[in-house]
Amino acid sequence: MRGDEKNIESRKDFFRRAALSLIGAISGYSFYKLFKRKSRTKNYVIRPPGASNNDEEFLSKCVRCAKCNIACPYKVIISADAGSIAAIGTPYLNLREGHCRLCGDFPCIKACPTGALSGEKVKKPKDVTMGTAVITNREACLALRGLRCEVCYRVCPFIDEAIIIKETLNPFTKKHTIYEPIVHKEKCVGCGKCEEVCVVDEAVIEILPLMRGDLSKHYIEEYEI
Amino acid sequence: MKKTVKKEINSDNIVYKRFLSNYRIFRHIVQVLFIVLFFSQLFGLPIYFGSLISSNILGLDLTDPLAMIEVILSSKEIHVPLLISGGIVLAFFALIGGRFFCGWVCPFYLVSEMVDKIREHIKIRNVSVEKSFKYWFMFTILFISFAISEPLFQYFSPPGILLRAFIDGIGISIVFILAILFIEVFYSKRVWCKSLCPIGAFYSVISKFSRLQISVNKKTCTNCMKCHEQCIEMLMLKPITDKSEGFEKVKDKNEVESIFSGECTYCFKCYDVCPERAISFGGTKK
Repeated sequence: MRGDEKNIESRKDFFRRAALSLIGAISGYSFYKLFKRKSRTKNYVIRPPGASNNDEEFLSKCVRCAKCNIACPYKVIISADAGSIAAIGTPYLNLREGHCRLCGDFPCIKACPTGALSGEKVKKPKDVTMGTAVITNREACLALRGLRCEVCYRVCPFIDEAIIIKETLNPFTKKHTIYEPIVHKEKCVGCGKCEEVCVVDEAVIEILPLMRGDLSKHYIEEYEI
Repeated sequence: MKKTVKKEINSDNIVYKRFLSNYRIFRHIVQVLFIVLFFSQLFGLPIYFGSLISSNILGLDLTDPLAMIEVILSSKEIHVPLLISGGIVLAFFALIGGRFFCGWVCPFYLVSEMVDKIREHIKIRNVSVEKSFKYWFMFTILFISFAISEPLFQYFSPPGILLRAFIDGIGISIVFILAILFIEVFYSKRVWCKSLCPIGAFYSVISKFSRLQISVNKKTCTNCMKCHEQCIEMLMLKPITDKSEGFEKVKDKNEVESIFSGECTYCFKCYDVCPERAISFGGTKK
């Protein structure tokens, strides 16, 4: 009898420990997922208009209240969940799904309680600095391959200012023209309309965050991936 | 003779009184109302806007004061509109008793209460955690927020996670809430609200100076400890109805004694359960 009781006790203990370790494992994994910030594919996030270009400064001010998310009339601002590309609860834009419409009155900036999205520098759509468009995959760009695509150029809200078309001779055929879209970083606000409408399966023109100073570091990282 | 007659009247009126003064149901209505308010904005009603961390009710900006302090600590600068919107909530709750937020507004408290009903049907052990742990937890979180320059608690604040899940759909963050609920059911009763939640800790601190309190009439109290069983999450009524002090002795002291601990969530469970109607709620002098 005693042995049986002992057996039962030890079995109970075993199950208890197993359950505890299982809970530990689940909570550990969920914590890992919760605090994991960056995905493998992207190491940057596009924030709503008015956000500081220094993402650490933005993170220190953002209170994760999701007000900008609710305020956005086009529902393009997303509150990040655990495991997505941005820190939990912070707003970001998935520009391939929906670009920023650059509302004249900026409801997202008005909604922000902490000044993480501040309207001090952003008074009109042209002042927005969410990022800048870059043709990240030049091999796949239809325009650079010789087709007259021009979609990004045509949809740009600042057409002929932010994106222009540069005509060059096609070096392979020697008689056709390449209509290459060229982005002016100073004029581009990073609304992402070009990225959303790019006709290639994976957008070849992408919005990259503005980084003051060390721009080259950023590009090296992009190519390493 | 007189005494017995009085008691009879009391017992006759008890059902009638219960029905009229059942704060518990009223409280649940208010809790649900706040969730309905939150949903109303998703259908385009212009009454409420935002989440519990920061919201705008009829044009008045309100911010969770703990979130405000966290942001001030993490960003190391003061944004005046934030200070005003947080200050309004801070002043309001400091006046009426801070943990009104917990018992009447917080959606996680409601979820936790509902899940806690499972405990009534199955008898499982209850590992008690020190109540004061939440204060240390709060100060640790504030300190880390300052050190890493990010409002740390907003990563896993249960009301924040719950309300964000309503907006953008349920994601992985909900695992944290499920984990808390699992622990609350199988290990420690209401452990998050009782001894972990930094929001609760913050409101406990500020409501120490509030004058709206639950009070016990010591003449009518029979030390049946029913309120104590109900209040198990906070163990509030222990100092008042403590048996060790002796009921007869207490009778000679002040007639009414109030709870001045600041940890009361004003759930009114003790009020509803008291068979002698010895518990009252109102403004008190210290």
